Amino acid sequence: MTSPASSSEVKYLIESSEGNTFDVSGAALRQSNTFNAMFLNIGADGPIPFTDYNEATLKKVFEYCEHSVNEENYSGPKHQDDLSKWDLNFFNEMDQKMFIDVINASNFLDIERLTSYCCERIARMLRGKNTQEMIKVITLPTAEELEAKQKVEEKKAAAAKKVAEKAAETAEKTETLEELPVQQLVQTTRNKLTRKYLSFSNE
Amino acid sequence: MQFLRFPILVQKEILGNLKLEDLVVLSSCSKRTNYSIQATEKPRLRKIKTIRYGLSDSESIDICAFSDTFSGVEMYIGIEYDAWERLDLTPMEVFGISRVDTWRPNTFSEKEEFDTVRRTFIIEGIHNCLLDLFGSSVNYEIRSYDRQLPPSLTNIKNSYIGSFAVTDAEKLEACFRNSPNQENIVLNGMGPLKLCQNSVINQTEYLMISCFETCGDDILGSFEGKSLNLISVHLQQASITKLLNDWKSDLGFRNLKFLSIRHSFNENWNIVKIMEDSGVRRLVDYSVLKWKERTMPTVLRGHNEWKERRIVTRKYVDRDSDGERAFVHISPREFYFVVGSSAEITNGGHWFNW
Repeated sequence: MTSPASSSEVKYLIESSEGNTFDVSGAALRQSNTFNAMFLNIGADGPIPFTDYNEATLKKVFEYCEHSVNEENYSGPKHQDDLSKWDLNFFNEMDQKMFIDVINASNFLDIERLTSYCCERIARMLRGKNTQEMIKVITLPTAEELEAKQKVEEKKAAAAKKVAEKAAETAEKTETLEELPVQQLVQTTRNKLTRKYLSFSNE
Repeated sequence: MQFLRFPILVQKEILGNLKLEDLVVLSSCSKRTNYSIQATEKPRLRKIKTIRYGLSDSESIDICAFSDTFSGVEMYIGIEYDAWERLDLTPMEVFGISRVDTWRPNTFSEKEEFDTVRRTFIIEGIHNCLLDLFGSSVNYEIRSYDRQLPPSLTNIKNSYIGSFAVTDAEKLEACFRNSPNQENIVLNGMGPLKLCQNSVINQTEYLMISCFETCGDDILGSFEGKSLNLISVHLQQASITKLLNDWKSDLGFRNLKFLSIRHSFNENWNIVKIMEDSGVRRLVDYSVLKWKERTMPTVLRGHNEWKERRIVTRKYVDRDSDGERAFVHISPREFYFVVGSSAEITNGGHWFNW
């Protein structure tokens, strides 16, 4: 919708998974390496589709980008204690689901600073914890979930095996066809030799 | 949050923010977390060259990891005894619950006996977890300064057992059952020590025994490794004569490269008799022999596993079968035997007056 001008006032339209569109400034969007690689030089004709993520998540991600536009250049992850009040509020007001969606979106958009802060925040949740506490934080799949997953995998394997068997059968048939001329050749040679032998013995 | 559902780059970034201690606990949570750590943190895991289990009278287990690139401790996990008594916990749960990530001085307990079966169960569990994460190529080491002998673990390459208790040969043998061919074993101060017949300890590459009043004759006679260091042992001079004669005639000690014995018996050895009975000869010039002896690395020594040893001598014996020369140094209470091809030899001239 806009030309890829370098001015920070240029706005880009972003399309979410719901099909909704909203504005994001060029300066904020340029913090995304994915955007830089895909659209910065060629420009975007119409809304930029980031349709794997919902509007709330994308708005949250770009809210962070808009805020950090004027910050100094990123120089590695900061310790959580060094985060500003705004940063802390930004993270604290998210529920866990939103937090996870933001990490995934930030990772996809390759926004280094936000991804690093989010990962540091998760690492902080795990640090110094014992086994049981860690299992709670990272929500490992339960035994039932693992069983269900195994069943799905078994079904997939069975289906794959069937396909492979069919393919092998087809290949076998093809091989038989290919072998025919050779067999014919052998038979012809054998006949010739027999005839020659007979003529020789007659002599 | 389902950690394992995060993209691999995010998992890598999270794990990169964790200390090794946390990674070890996390790896024990499930096989998949273990795989994730191994896949993303390979360089950090590969840096670890030594993992040391320290067992002491404080009834705690100290686990330290060292690398070649950093002189300090890369990972320290201390496990308190209190948590062991909770029988409802698996080894890794105990590990997680009671771990202390910062080193603290040992608080010696007055407890004479404790549940060694439970301790073995805990250490085995933790060791298996570390083996799963760091692999078997790491140099796993046991250092025990305990009244109880350490448990027998697999893949142990170095053992140091220091104890002032009198040690039963069978029990000592059991400590090495699961890791029979160790590189380096040090048995220190365990009272009069006796090894089992055909003990696996005899096959250790580098063996050092420093146990007062121990009879060294049997230990020397059965040793099959490369380097033997006997300190404060009783040793008959006939054993030295037999060693030299057997080596010369290729009847034994084929692998032996270095031997040093410090004799603690009241009676001194008769040097002339040993030399006569074993055909030890003298060179005109003295030779300086330098070789590297295996030691237990310490932080203070920069984790150096080797210590330089040196003797100056002109006494030698030659092996009949291949002409290999071994240099010997005999004094009334000390004996050194160094195979020439395994040491660095320089000419010491003829002015040494030893």
